[in-house]
Amino acid sequence: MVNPSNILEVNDLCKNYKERKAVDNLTFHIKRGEIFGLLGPNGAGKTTTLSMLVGILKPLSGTIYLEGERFNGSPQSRSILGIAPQELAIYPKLTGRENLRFFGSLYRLSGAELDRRTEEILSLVGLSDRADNLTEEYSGGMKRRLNLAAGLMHNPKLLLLDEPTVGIDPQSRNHIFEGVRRLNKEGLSILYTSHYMEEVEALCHRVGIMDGGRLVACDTVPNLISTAGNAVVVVTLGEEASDAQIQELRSLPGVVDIECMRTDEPIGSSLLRVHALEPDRLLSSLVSRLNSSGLSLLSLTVQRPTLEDVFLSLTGKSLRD
Amino acid sequence: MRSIGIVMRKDLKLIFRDRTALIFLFGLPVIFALLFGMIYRGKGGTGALHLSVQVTDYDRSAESRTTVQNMQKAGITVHSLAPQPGIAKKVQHGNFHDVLIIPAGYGASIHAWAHNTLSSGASSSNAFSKPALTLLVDPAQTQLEGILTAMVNGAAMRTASTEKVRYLVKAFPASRSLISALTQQGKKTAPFVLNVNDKATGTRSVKPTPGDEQMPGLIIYFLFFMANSVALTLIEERKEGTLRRMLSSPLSSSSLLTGKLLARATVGILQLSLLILLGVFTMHMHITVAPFGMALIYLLCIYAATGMGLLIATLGRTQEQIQGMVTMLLLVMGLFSGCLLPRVLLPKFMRQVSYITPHAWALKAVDDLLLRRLNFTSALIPLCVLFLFGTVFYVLALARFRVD
Repeated sequence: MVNPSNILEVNDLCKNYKERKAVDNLTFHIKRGEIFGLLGPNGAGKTTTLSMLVGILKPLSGTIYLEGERFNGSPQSRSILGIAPQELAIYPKLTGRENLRFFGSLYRLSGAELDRRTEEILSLVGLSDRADNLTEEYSGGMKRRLNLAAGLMHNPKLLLLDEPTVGIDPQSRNHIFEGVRRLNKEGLSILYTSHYMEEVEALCHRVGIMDGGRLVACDTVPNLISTAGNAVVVVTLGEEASDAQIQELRSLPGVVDIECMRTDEPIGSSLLRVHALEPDRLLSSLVSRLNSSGLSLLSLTVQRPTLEDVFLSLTGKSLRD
Repeated sequence: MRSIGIVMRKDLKLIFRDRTALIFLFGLPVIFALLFGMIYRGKGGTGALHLSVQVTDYDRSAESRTTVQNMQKAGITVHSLAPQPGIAKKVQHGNFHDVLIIPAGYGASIHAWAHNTLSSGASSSNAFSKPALTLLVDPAQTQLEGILTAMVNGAAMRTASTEKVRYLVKAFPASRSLISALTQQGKKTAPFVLNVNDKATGTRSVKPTPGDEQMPGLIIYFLFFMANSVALTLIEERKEGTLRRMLSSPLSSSSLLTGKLLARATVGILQLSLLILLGVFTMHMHITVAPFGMALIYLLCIYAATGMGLLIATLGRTQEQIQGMVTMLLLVMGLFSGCLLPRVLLPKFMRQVSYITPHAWALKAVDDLLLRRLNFTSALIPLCVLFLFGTVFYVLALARFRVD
C-alpha cells in the first residue's frame, strides 16, 4: 500500500553489475516537501540508484513508486523528476540560455512558456547576466549552477541531485545550498546524494546511509548521530595527570569514563577524553576540579559525534576511504 | 518527430561551432580532392597519367624532331632542355624527374639502321648499331620509368619505320603504290601507344574522366569517416553526462539516436555536395551519368557509415580507444577497398578479400554505373550488400547500446 504523503517509495531495489551487487535490497521513501540525503562513499551505489530512479537503468528486482504510481519510464512519469547529474551535463559549445532551452524543450516546453521558464531559472541560479556566453567560458561554479538549472526547467516535483557540489569553490557551494533550500521551501522534494557528510547534515531532513549497495541506516540527522554515542570533552593538560587525579575527575557526577593518553604537543602534555552523559553541564565542575587538583589546563573542546562517526560505527570504515 | 528535430538542431549547432571538427569534416576532404585533382587533371585518355619529359637534343636533325613530335602525339608533354653539364647528376638529385638525351648522330644512325637492315636482311640487322637514346629517370620516380621507356621507344620506332619506308620505296620502285598506300594509312592511324579497349566501352557516349575514376573513391572514403564523428559524439555525450540527462527526460532513446544520426547524415550530405562540386570543377567528374543510382550509393554509404559509427561507440569506452580504432580501421578499409589506391595494384587474393568492406561494394556499384555505364539493375547486388552492411551495423549496435 503506497503512502500518499510520500512522493517516492523504493522497495527492495536490486541491481547487479556482472557478479557484483551494485544495489542490494534498497528500501526507502521520500516524503513530499522533504530533502532526503543519500550518504555514502564513492562506489556505495548512489548513482546506480539514481539511474534506476530516472529509468536509465533497469532494476534487477524491486519496485519504484512515484507520486503513488508504479514508475514505468513513461514520458509523464519522467516529467515528475528532474536530475542534476554528477558530471557537468551541459554543452560547452552552447550558451547558458541555449543549454536551458534545449533541455527544456526535451520536456515539451516551447514558445512563450519556454522563454519565460528559461529567464526564471537563469535568474534563480544567478546566471542571467552571463546567459549568452558559451558555457565553456563559465567558471566551475557557474557550470554547476547551470547543471542544476537544467534539471529545474520543466518544474519537476522531485529533484535528484547527484553530488552537486563536487569540485567547486565555497561561494558557489553556498549559492547551490541557498538555491536548494529556497526550492525546498517552495515545495520541491529533493533527493540529495553526497559523500560530504557536512552537506547532508546541513541540508537534509532525513538521511539514508549507503555502503556496498545496501542502506545501513535511515533516519533524521539527530537520531542517527545519537546512535554514535554522546559528545566527548577533550582536555589538553600541561603535564601528565596521576592516577589519583584521574580518579578524582572520574568521581564527578555525569562522567561515564575517562581515557588518558600522552601527547608530545606541547612536549610533556597529556590528553584526556572525558565521556559524559551531558557534556555541556559538566564543563564548569570539570574546570574547577582540574584547577583544585593543580593541573594546568591548556585547552578544552567538546567533540560531538558526526555522521562520519555514525558511518564509522556502522561500517567500521571512514566515509572517505 | 519534434524531439528528433530538437536533438538534430542541437547537434548541428554543436558541429558547426567546433572549428577543429569542421576542419576534419570539410577541410581535409577538400585538400585531398584538390591534391587528387592536380594529380589527375585532364579530360581522359593518357591525360589521366600526366607524363612529361625534358628533352635535350644534341642532334637537331629532322629525325630527332620527328621523334619528339611522335612523343607528343602519344600524350607526353615535352619540355625542351638546353644541353648542360652534369645532367645525369641533376636527375639523380631530383632536380629533374626525367630527361631524354638525343645524342648527336641520332638521325644518321636512323638512316644507317634503315638502310643496313634492308640491304643485309632482317636476320642480320643486329650486326649494325641501332639508334640510341638515353633516358635518365629520377631514382625516386622509378614507377614512371617503364611507361616512359616504352613510350619513347615507340616514338623512336615510329621515326625509324618511316625512314625504312622511304628506303623501301627507293629500293623497290615497283611496289611504290602499295607502300605509298600503307604509308598514308599509317599516318592516319593513331600513334604507337596503348589504347583503351573500346570494345568494352562501346555503349558509352561520354568517356570517363579522371574525376569519374578517382573522385567516387575519395567521396566514399570520406563518407565512411563519418563513423568517427558518430562514435565520438556518443562517447562524448556519455562522458559528459548529457546522454544520461537526455535519457532521463521523456525523450526516447530511439528519438535521441535518430536525431543525432540525422544531424551527422546532414553533415555527410553537405560533405558529399562539396566533394562532388570539387570533382566537377577540378577533375571533370560527370554528374549526369546515372545520377539517381549514384545518389543512392552515396546515401547508402552514409547509412552504413552512421551504423558503423554507432557500433564502434558500443565497442570502445574512451575517446582515445575510439579514435585509435576508427582511424586504423577506416584507413585500412580505404586502402584495401580501392578508395585511395586502385585495387588492381593489390594481389588477387586481397582483391577478393577486400569485399569484406562496405567500401568495396560501394565502389563496385560506382564502377558498374559510372564507368561501365551499365543499367541500374546490374548495380542492384552491390547496393543491396551495402544496405545489408548498414542494417547489420545498426542491429548489432542497438543490441549493444548502453548508457553506462
